[in-house]
Amino acid sequence: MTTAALERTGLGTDSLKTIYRKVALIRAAEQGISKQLRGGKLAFSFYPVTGQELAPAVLTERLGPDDQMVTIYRNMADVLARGLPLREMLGEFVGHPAGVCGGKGGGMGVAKPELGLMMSTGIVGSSSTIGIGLALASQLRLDGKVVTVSFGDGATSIGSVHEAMVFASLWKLPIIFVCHNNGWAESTPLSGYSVLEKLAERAAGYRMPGVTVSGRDPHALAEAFDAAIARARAGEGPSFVESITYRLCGHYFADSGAYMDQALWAEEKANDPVPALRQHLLDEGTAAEAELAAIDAEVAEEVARDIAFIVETPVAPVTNGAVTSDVYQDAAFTPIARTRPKSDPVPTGPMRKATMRDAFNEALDIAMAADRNVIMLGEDIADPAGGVVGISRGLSTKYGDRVRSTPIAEQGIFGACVGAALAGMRPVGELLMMDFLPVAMDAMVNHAAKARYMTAGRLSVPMTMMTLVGAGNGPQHSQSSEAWLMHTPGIKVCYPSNPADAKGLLLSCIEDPDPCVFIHSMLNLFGTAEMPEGEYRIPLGLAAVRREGKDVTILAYGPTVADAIKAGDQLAETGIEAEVIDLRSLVPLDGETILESVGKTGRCIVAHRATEFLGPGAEIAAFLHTELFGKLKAPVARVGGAYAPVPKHSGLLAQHYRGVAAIVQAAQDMMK
Amino acid sequence: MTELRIPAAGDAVTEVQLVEWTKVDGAAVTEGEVIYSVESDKSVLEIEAPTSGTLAILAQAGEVYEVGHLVGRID
Repeated sequence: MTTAALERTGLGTDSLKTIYRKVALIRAAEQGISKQLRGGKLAFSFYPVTGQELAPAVLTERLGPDDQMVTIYRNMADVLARGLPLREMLGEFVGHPAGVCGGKGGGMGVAKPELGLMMSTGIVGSSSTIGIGLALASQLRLDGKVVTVSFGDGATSIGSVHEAMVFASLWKLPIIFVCHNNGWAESTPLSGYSVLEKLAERAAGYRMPGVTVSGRDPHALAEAFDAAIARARAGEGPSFVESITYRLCGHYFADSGAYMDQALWAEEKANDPVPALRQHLLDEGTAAEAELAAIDAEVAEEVARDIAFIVETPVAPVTNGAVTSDVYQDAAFTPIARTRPKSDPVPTGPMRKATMRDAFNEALDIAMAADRNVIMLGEDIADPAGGVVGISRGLSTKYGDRVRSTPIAEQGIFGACVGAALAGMRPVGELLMMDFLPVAMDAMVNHAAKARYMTAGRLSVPMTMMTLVGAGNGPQHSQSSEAWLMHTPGIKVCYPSNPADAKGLLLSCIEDPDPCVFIHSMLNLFGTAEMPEGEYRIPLGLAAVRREGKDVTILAYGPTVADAIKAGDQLAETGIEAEVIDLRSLVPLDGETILESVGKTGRCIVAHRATEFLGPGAEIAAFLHTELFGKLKAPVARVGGAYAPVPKHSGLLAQHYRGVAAIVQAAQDMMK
Repeated sequence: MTELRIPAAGDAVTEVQLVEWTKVDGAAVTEGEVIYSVESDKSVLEIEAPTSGTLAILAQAGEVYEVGHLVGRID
């Protein structure tokens, strides 16, 4: 190597040998695994990395031990280069208990936080938004960590990558976008989906440096990564590094690449960067043949040993309960709890008139004052706006950049919440309207909900999403989608009806070890009610009896609680005594209180604004029919939303959810 | 002795067609050379000899086999 190159990049002899060892290991591991797949000894979806080994090897050689990486499913080069033992990687790939995450996550669930391997994801592009959250945590904690997100060229088409670049440049986050441009997005060539040949040009739109380097040149790669790392550490913001390679393999093992230009492919294969690097080291005098041969032999032994271990170690029978452990921190968690949580009483001392908005503001203030890890992200939440409905008024003034107004980019907001939570923070993200949930759903469903499970408890996502259900705002601003979330294992859901509960439940959500979605309704937001002063918590999974009665139980939550109480008052005039239960928490549900009440009355109506078909009431009805079959005096009735979007027209809206009158009617029908 | 078993050509693939043997029964084969090919719904996959030795063919080309089925040996 020339002295000039050494001075320019600092890539010394030892570094180059380290890089060669990483590259040789990745290649040998890939060949060893492919051999087992061809021989039928292993069977799993394998995404090889042939031809793109060098950039991860150089990157990990340049990163510090505390820096963090997020990768996508084609992660073999990244994780081996970072030092994950092959045995732990391959075990995870095939779903073996010796895998780094116990085989629960598979190849897309490779994470080892001790090595800074924070997450792999099968949802390409989402690595970027999660990386934003990790980088935000680094920035807020001033801990100097640099975060790298790696993805293929195909992922640069995805919105989440762009949202992440918007956040990264706006907030000058310490993050490096590492794009492995291997020329193929699955089986579509670059020219088939991009008008740019150099994808690093996309960085210009976000005013961040974007460099394109050869993925075969260790010096060029080191120079690019060194500059990006230095910039990130100096607080100057993100960079985009594109490593140009060519995918010398199919998209997956068994993909023969029939769609590829065979002549070009053969030419590229003949120009394989791994032997080229080896020859380069010999030519430059960096290493002698004997040294490289020794590395090759050492690597071959490691590969043979680790592959044999996974192939030959029998998988022990699974233990009872293993399938549902690591869904939540509490291994015994069930969505309908048979035992309600013990609770400290809500203070009965001084009270004040407050709205639910006041309750949220106070709970957030309490949580942020108590724990620097509590941060808040959302559209318009910083002062002077203080949030579109005013929830966060004054908080950015008091807590500075821990309360950040974000771009209008829900994938970015909630991906960042997931990433910050992986770093141990307790982010609260505001999703202004629940109708925007589908935009944020990837972060919630694929990442927040699954991270603990996919990593067998190595990681958790203690974040809270707050979201508002509109009222009378038409089909795209009034929908109640709680059932989607309740149907997603890994998420907790609550939906309070009054300010006192809102304060106590929001504090519980923020402090919870699992991701929580806190839903509230415009119908409840601005009404005033008595709220205890000071700090208290209402545990998730604890319902409240709002009205006692012996004839029929009405289960409600959020805005339908008021309807149920009104219906109870009307029914009392006709001699029917209704018991009204405010569920407050939907996952977990307070099965004990529900069974106690319906066991007593023998009749039950579930009222919610969400679509009746497959709504929460359907599950509750199934639960009651199973538990109380023979004791029920009438089938469980449901009063829910019609099987239609929520209309704007007030006459149609009154038919969509028929409220008090329908609850009264259902109770009277049951009592006949 | 190394067994040759039908590889999984993808997660959802349960059976594949053995398209052809490119080496004859009893042939001396070298590790890495293609000995047979299989076809699933997605593509044709060429299978290389996992080791060197003498090939014993135990399954006919043209037939459909389940993943994991023993189709040959290298002794």
